[in-house]
Amino acid sequence: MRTHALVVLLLAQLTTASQNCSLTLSGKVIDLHDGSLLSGATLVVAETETVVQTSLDGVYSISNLCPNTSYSIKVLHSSCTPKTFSLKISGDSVRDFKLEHHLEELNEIILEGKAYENKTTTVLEKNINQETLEQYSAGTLGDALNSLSGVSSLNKGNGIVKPIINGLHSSRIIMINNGVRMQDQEWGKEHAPNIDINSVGRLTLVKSASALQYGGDAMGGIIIAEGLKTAIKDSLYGKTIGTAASNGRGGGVTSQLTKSFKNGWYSTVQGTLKRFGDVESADYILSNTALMEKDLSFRLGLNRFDYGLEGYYSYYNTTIGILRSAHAANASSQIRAINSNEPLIIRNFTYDIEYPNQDVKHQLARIKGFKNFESLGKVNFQYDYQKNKRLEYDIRRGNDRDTPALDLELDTHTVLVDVKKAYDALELKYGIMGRFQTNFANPDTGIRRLIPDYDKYDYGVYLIGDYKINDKWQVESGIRFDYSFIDAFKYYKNSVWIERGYDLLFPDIVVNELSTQLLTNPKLEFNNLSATLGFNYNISENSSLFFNQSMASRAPNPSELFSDGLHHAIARIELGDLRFKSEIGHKTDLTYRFESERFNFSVNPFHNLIQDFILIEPIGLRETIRGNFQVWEYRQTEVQLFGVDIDASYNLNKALKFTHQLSLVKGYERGNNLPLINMPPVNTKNQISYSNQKLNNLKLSLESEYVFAQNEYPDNNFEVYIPVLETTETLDISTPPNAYHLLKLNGSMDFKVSKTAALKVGLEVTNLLNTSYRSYLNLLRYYADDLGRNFLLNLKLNY
Amino acid sequence: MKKQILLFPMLILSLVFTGCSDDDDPAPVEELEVITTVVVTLTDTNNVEYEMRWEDPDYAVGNITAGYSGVTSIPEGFYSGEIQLYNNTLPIDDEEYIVTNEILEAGEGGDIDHLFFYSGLGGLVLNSLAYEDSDVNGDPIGQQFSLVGVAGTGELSVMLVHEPEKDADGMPDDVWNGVGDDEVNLQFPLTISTQ
Repeated sequence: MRTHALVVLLLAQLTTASQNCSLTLSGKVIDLHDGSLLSGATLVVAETETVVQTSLDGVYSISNLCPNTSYSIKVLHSSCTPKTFSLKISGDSVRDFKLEHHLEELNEIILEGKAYENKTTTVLEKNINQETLEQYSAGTLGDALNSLSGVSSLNKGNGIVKPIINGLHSSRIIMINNGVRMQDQEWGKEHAPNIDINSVGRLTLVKSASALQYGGDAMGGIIIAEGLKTAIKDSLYGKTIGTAASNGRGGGVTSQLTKSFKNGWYSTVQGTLKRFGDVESADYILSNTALMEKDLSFRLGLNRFDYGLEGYYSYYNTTIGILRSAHAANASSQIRAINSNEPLIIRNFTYDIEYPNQDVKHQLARIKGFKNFESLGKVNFQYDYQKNKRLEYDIRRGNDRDTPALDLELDTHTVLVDVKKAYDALELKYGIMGRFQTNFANPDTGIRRLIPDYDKYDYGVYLIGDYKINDKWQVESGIRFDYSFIDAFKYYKNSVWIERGYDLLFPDIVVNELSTQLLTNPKLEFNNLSATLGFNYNISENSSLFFNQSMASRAPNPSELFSDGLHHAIARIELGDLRFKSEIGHKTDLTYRFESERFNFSVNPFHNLIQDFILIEPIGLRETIRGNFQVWEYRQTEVQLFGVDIDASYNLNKALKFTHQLSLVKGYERGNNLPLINMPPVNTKNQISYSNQKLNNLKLSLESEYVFAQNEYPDNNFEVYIPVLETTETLDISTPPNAYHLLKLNGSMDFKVSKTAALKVGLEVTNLLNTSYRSYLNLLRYYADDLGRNFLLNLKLNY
Repeated sequence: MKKQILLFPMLILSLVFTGCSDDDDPAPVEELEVITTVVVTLTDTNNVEYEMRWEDPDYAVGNITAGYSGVTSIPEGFYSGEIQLYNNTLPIDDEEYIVTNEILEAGEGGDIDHLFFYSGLGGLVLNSLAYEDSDVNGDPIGQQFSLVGVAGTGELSVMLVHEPEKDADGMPDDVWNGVGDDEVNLQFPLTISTQ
């Protein structure tokens, strides 16, 4: 028991061996509020880098301390604000530390046994803790991320929510789920991350590519979802959260149960069910927006002091209706739909999910292990397999009615080995990665493959060093190299092949000539280098500065390379280019942070210069049998994005708190200075919250979110001649909607149900004033208003 | 020690990768719902046929090689009309070669959820446009139609709409009210001359 509660770095002994350093400091870590003992608290002695944890009864012991030397001991606990204590000892001493225990007040069981690790030291990370995640239990991961400054979301209705970090999204951000890089066809604008929010214990956002251990192509940033940590003790506990929502007349239930043993074995089973009918805007029903989600995850592991092993499996399945009136056949029907104030199709409320819709299944299986070696450090090994199956149904006729328009299966195998070793003031991380991915596009859809069949091989290697110069300065530097090879089989129509000029550029890749099309075998290689350099400077006890410069390289994704035809879901012709090179981004990220008991403040300006940035823009209209279609073509250019994220909070007194958030980002194409499309408009959130622990931990908050109109956007409008009406009309797909202001009210109270069970009752009202609004970042904004008022009742039972 | 640790995953990777290689070429997609050819035939009272065509031979969803052909000029007078749709990417004896057959297949309750619309654009004036066919519920289809052509130059607009609102006010005599999806949206250049 003691042996694994006590973690003493051997190095600490080496550095102090010359003195007579054999004193021991011991004591307890105590909750300031109720005097209870905190297990699993981490104590870090800054001078010696000794790290120990408190045992189950809150007791710690630090040995090998020197007499008459000043030590500063930082005490951390997952549910508390970290606190640093300074002291000197002359003999073996006993000292108790008190921490303010501010989260999960009524939880009988502390779920997290030890603090989560930092992903990078020179970029200020942002976290979403479990309590906040639970509020979004019936929503999506994207909704929860949206609560952080610098993050917005690209939506397609309410069910498909893709995070945008500092203006970038899709292939330009990396999502890590339980240590596994998600391979869920993230390139698509209407492909949301396939992660159940309820399986996440903590979300971390790194707004730069600096966490190179996860990949070198995170131009926008990295989102890391981690599972719940399990304490090493004999226990059986769980929680159930039920949410009912008025808008959509549905809700969700999620449950998890954990069994742990003090010999280190643990297992968790977790599942989620969500069911919503058509949601409503302020004035009308949004027909065919029902959704259903079914998720399950299972974890089994062994955690010992110097080794551990864990298996994890998760299944995610969602079926999401796509607003019926957003289905446009061609440019003139798009004009009709856009010019109509209300959606053209408004039906009665239903729970049925009709066409068009998406049905996505994501399975993830992972096995990982670690072992601590004296000489080598901590070695992690991981193998994971992901299977992503995406079906997209469209409005089709006759016998094809129930045949999906898109049927893709993406299988990915990844092997990772990471090594972490700490020397005196230096921590080294290095590792290698190998990945094999195969995409299968089912030809039975009867619609030409949007993404061709391909095999992809990736190899990566990285080295990151983190050096603590002294109490004030810390530097971090890293480098990573990735090699990618794509072996694709792609059919081109004869006329397209010639029109693109490929007949002259790539005559060698044709492997088969059919009557109207050619089978080609493009083999593409990409060598990507990425690097990071940064520092962290503690200006004073209250303030610190983070600086990071990172270089990210991203190989073009399959849709950028291979698109060559009609994209049914958005009724436009998209043209990729086989000649594309990797994008290279240079991001400068600076954060100043001030923290005190009453006032917290951080300001984070950034600049991101991206060479060979791949963007898509309209180049004209093409006449087809179905009328005119917009033609959009990908092209590479140099762009820059810059902006600032500001967070501030002020505690007026123990009960009242003000929080403020502001995010601003601008993006332009260099050279012609044209604004980039889909840049998040300036937005600010301001919140006033009241809490009273004595009154059943009552919490009340009112949040105001003001989103400005985006005044800088590229003009992608078309003049379209509508034959039937004999008029020329403007297809306005560019003008952003007006600014809007939303209010959100939230309240919760805790009740003790029995000795071991606690109930939390929460009530939330979003869009309190039932405002009609449209968001620039919602792909359905042309066709319908966004969500109206929604009452959410949230019940959480811990047992 | 270190070497062994790095070799282990390499071994697994090599197993995984060799296990997955199969070099079968993927089959071409047999495209469904394809209309490569639209033929409008106008027959005058003397049984003289005038044929107008639109073709997109490799169905590249675009006008790279697509275009109109056939008659561009007809005399004034009464015509009975017929439209046929084909999928030229299929062999001629394939049952789905003539797309019109599928369009005319009745769904539940005898409904046919397609409707053709015709109109004259520009200086082309068509009088007495009429539907000459209907489904079992009496709703029009428009695969058979009739018109009286008056001298002028312009375009003959032909639309096929899937899932229209056949019961809506003014349908189908007025222009399409916008509900449903266009499957055909073509404008045949046409001059009607005085006899």
